[in-house]
Amino acid sequence: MDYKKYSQILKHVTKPGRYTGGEIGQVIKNKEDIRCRFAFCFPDTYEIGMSNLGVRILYGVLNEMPDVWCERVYAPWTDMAEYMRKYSIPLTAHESGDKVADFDIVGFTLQYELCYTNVLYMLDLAGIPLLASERGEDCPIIIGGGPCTYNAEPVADFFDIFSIGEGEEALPELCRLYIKMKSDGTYTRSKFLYEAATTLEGFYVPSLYKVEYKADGTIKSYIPADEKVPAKIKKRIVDDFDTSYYPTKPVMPFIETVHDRIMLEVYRGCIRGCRFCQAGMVYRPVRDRTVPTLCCQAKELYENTGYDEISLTSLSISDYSDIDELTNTLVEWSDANMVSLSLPSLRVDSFTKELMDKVSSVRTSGLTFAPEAGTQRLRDAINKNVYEEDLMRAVRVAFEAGKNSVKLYFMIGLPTETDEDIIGIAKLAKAVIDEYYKTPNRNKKRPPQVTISVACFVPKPFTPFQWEAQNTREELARKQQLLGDNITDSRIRYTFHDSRTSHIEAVFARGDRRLSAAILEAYRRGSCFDAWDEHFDYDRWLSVFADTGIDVAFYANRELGEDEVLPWDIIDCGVKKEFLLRERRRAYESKPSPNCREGCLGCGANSLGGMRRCCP
Amino acid sequence: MNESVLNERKAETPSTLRIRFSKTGSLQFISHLDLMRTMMRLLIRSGLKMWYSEGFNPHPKLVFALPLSIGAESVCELLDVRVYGDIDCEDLIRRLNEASTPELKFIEAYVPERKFKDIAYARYEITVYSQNLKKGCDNAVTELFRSPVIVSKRTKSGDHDTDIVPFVRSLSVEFDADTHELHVNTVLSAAPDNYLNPEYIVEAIRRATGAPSDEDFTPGGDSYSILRTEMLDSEGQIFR
Repeated sequence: MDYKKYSQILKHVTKPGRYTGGEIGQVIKNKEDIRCRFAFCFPDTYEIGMSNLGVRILYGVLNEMPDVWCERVYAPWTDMAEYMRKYSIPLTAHESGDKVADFDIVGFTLQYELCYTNVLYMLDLAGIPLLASERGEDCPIIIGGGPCTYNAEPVADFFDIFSIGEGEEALPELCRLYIKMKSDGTYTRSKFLYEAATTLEGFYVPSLYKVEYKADGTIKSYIPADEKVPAKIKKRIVDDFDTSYYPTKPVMPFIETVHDRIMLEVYRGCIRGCRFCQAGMVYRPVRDRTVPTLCCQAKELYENTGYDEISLTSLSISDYSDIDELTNTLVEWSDANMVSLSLPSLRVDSFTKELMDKVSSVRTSGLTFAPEAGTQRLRDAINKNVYEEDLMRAVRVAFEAGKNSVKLYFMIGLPTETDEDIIGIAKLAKAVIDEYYKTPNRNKKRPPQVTISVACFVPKPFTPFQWEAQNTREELARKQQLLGDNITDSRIRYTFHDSRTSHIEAVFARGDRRLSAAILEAYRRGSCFDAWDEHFDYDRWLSVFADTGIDVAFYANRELGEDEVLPWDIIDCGVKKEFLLRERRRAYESKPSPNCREGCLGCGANSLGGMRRCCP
Repeated sequence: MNESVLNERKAETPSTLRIRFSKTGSLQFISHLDLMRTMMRLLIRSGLKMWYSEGFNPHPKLVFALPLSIGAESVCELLDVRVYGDIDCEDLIRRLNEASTPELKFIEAYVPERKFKDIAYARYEITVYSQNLKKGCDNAVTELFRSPVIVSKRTKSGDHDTDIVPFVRSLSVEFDADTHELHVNTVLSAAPDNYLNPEYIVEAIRRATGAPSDEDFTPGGDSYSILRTEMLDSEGQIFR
């Protein structure tokens, strides 16, 4: 944003540094050399968007292309949007300050369902028609990517095209196609979208499919426009993850962001297969980077950024095959440079004294673990593969090291859950308190504190629990109350998630195209920043659903039929339905399954290829 | 943190290095706290051998002379950092500028002789732009400061009605009718317990001339800018 032109406004909004740009590391190019301008939009605030690793990677990959210029765009906070509307200031890109509406391609990363209204908010501020069907030849191509595109049907009406899976190779291919068709004069919007869907892999153009519904509201079929349009869109993966592009000169935000540190992406996917977890399924097959590559990237990033913290990023860091060698090598170098190491996503069964010592410099007073469920029976049913002994051993290590507080994450409303499982959460928390007093050399200065944070289960596409009904809000409230009643110890702090957000999330997670009309209407009535408590308006959503003919329970609280056509059946994410069904059966028998290293369950993700993957 | 690295550094005696830098353009919207974080990273990148505090979370110590509020630019910011060994100051400035952006520019580094508490005043260039500024507005501003100018001044003990005139050491005003710009060059008290934020001068100008408007934020419309140009000691000499 041009700080001179808008200085009066910038002096009156909160955190003006969100809008001014000019950061160290931003990419500025000469417009005359550019044949495709790409606006990469993050539909949330600057502080959140700047922390996203996917954006960093794709920003870097696209800008590696000499004739493509990728710029960043974030959702202005509502105080800024008010000024923008009042003074007709259009949404602009961070680097050049040029209008987003004048770009060739405008991409949105869809990280969570509750950002959907923000996509409309940003398109609207940019002056781009909200519906794909209303866009003319002069409009940019609107593309979506990210985890939510594994079922992007609820926002299908707003996007021209979706990129399914990893984008490092797919997005440059799309830009190449755009440049080619523009230069040989064959470009029209519809021709370009058709070419992308039929000649490139991993692109889904919703307008090329007709959806038919049955009388009961379920889907009858998806009909492709012609025989060249793929019946299923296969997710893209980077074949050689070890050598694939990784940004070592990131843009350095001036203002504080959520994750302001070096992020090393150690591996993709997860060997565990927790049955509620979408990330653990859709990022398969598991592929890792080698220790030399990671250490090299760490040093380069340190030299280019001056960050004093390195975070090892993955879904479950202790499952990395060379974790000891990696941490040993990194610690030797990082200590000498006064850099601290942080290991988020630690599993309790892998938490050792040795590992904790390596991260002891991390600036945190407590430790966080995720047992997810209160009883062994339910932990087996969700395939968490964590035992009470593991948790007790882990907290003992922490208590011996002088820690007093432990945070535990749980979920309620899980399939097969009974009241005994709920009460089990309270019992487990109490057992952690007892463990503190059983630890001889504990820190006696302060009493122990166990915080339990309880989320509500949301059934997600491409998981063994995708067919399950979400508990009604009444049932979730009863369980939250039951758990509260069973916590009698004042040293246990109990917090739980608002079931209203989880309810709306469930509608979108398993929604179909008919939801687009509701999202549009909610935006028109003022919904945006739904992921922010102060903006989320549950009652407005309910009235919008009622007025647009959407039955909330049909999407959130209904058990889906196993033979039903699901909105996300159009996507092939590698993991096959038969596998998900097998895992669902095992959940009902409360039987855990081995992880990918112990034995292959034949999920099907290896059909996607991938070098250095952990599976056969 | 690595004990041996800390011990090795402890064996030497740290000395203080002073760095002068400018913070201009879009960087005026970056808060002091955010600037400190950015500065820390740039110093780490420069390879400067810094002293680290002891304790649970060792970190270098940066001391800024006079924090700049959001919306003000400066070409005379000073920062002290404790370092080890002989420093090639020119080389350090070159390396810092290579890693930085032109809006955060490093000007010089030197071993200081005086302490920040000797700073008594700061000079500012304030420019107000408005199509509504008319001939004679410069005299109106000068006239205003001949008698007490009472503003509600924010202090640690709450808001107090305060006369800001005693904080103004000098003030000269010029109006350029062609560009519709009112230029004010002023020296304000900047002693630790007597600091006057230049925004109060803008507030006074608004009172005398009606500009810049406090309600109309039309892009390209009324605006003002504040540039800190010098830090001065009690004698009015440039502080180094």
